[in-house]
Amino acid sequence: MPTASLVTFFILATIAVISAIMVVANVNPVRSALSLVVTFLTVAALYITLEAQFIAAVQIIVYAGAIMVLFLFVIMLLNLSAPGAIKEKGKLQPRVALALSGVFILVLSPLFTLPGDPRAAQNLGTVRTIGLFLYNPTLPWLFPFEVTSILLLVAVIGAIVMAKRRI
Amino acid sequence: MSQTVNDLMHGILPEHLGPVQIPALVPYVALAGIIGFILAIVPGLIWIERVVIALMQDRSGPNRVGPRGLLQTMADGVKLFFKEEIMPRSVDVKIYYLAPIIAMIPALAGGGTLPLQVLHFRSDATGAIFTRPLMVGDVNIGLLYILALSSLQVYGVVLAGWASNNKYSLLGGLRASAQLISYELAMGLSILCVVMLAGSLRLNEIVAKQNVLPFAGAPEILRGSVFSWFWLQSGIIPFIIYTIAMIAETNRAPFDLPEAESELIAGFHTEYSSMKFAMFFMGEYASMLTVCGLNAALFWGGSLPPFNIPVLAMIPGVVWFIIKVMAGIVFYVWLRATLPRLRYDALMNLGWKRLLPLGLVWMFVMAVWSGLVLHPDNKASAATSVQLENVDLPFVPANTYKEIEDPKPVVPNQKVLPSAGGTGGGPAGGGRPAPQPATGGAGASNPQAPGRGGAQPQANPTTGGSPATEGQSPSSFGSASGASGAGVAPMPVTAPSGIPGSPGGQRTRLNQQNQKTESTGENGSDH
Repeated sequence: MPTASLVTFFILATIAVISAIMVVANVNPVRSALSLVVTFLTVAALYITLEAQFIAAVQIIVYAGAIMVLFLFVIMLLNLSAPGAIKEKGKLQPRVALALSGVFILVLSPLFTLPGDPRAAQNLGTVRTIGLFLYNPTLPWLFPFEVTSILLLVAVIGAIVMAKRRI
Repeated sequence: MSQTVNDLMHGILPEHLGPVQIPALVPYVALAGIIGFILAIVPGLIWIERVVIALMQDRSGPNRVGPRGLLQTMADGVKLFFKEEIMPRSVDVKIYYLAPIIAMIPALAGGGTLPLQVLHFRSDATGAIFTRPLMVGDVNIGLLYILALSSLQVYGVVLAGWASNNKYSLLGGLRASAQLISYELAMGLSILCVVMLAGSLRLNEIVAKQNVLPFAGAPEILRGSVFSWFWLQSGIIPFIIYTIAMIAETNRAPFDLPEAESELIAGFHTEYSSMKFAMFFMGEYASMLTVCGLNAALFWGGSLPPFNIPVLAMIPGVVWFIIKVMAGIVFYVWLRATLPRLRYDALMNLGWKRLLPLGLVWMFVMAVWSGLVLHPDNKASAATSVQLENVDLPFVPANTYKEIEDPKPVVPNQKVLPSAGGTGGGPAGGGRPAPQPATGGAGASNPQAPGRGGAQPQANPTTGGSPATEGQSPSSFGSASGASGAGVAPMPVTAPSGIPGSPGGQRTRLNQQNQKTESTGENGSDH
């Protein structure tokens, strides 16, 4: 295991985890959203270290560049900057969250015992390879991909139907 | 030595300069060049803007500081530097100070994958000429990288508007985010048209794809000329969409609603003064340079000269690139002097009801055009299958991979396996139930089938030619699947064999084998 990539990984992972904690720890919704953007960026950097450049770029463009901008837009539009309103929750919530995160780690634990050395997939992250895999009719991923796009289309149409009084 | 001088006359650099290997330095040169250029040219851009607008509005323009007012921007910069830092009460301090930085950094970094020029080097070892693109990072997602950074840039504006704790600023920030989301889609569609023509996301390859004859039989002087650049090749419409969207993305007039001075005082930077304001200014101009550079690379041939004439070709490509970028900047200024600001609903209408449908329709047209006319033979070729073979997936247990797989490619192996294993006694070779019981049953119920197949070559040469190879391939497949159970290389088992001939080829092979098993079955029943 090359140490340089290990150091990179731990720096990025630390930033990602800390900013992910900040997302839930911040009382200010705008700061939470910003922390989430930082998480997305570090995850994108992790993708790059795994030689998945296309996914890294899509992560930034879609999540950090579009979805989080929409989140910020909504937060600012509703002016959710009153921090007092959020602290009213009971004291049960943190304990349940802690317990559930323990369960989550247990569920994930098989992943830590995968065989072999952890390494990046070679030549997988380029646009060309992903396209060749995704749109290849002899491989099983074309159908789920198309179904997902139809699902998104349904969601869009549903949003319009619900938002418009008269179509 | 004369060779080197002669090369330099033709723009070919030596590989080594003393102990220094020049090609290895190219990214650093590009990095220093781009950042230095952007930081150094911004005062020049402001001066250009003032002079050109004065020209268009029939005014004198800057004429006091320096010759032709050249130093006016310097004076402004010094003034901004020494201005008092004003911070209003009850701002969100951290974000308030972070916003100008966020506005500026992505704009500076965005130039990282712009192809400035193609450099030619003469190899010392072989004497052959090889090329290196003069760019910071020649990555396979170069175009997406610029798009990603330009989409990050809106955070500076939005956060500035929010952190200032000012109604006008907040409105400006809201407008900026809505505007960016609306126009990013149209921009992406117009860029996709070019990507389909070029078949690559590397900007230097996109530029290289424009260095062709505009149409078959064109004179050589038109190779890589204005007419073969993508603004014309993609049918002008993507270029128009991109230009409108790039102006909207950089919040410039007539799309400068986030800082509309007639309604919002100064919009998102109302509360910013001194160097923080200057950083917003720098970020705006740097992003203008980046999107103009992308425009030049995508639609205007990047570093190619407008005509393939030796006199023009002697000028370095980077000069042509800068000329094209500057033309874009002047176009910005021209629009600012000409058009009034859009109303907000007109802005949204233009983005969602005009540009987006137009872009979608045109992308469809370009897909059909590039698929049927330009690259009719662009199927999954041998090269792509080689590329898939090179893909090495970690952590995919082979058996799970095989189970989710399309059953079709497995059929031939399974079908032949019982018949091959028939000599060894029964369908034990596969270790897995055959997907089609009819043929499997035929092979099992009729152990003489391979014998018949061996006897057939004299009778039927079309099917009999293959039994030997068929007899080998199932065994190799059997060993491969047996080994894949142990967890090695799931991919080469089926995918490469499925891809090279594309589905059609696969199916014909399947059909042949179906016919063969049918024929052997008939023979068996005959027997």
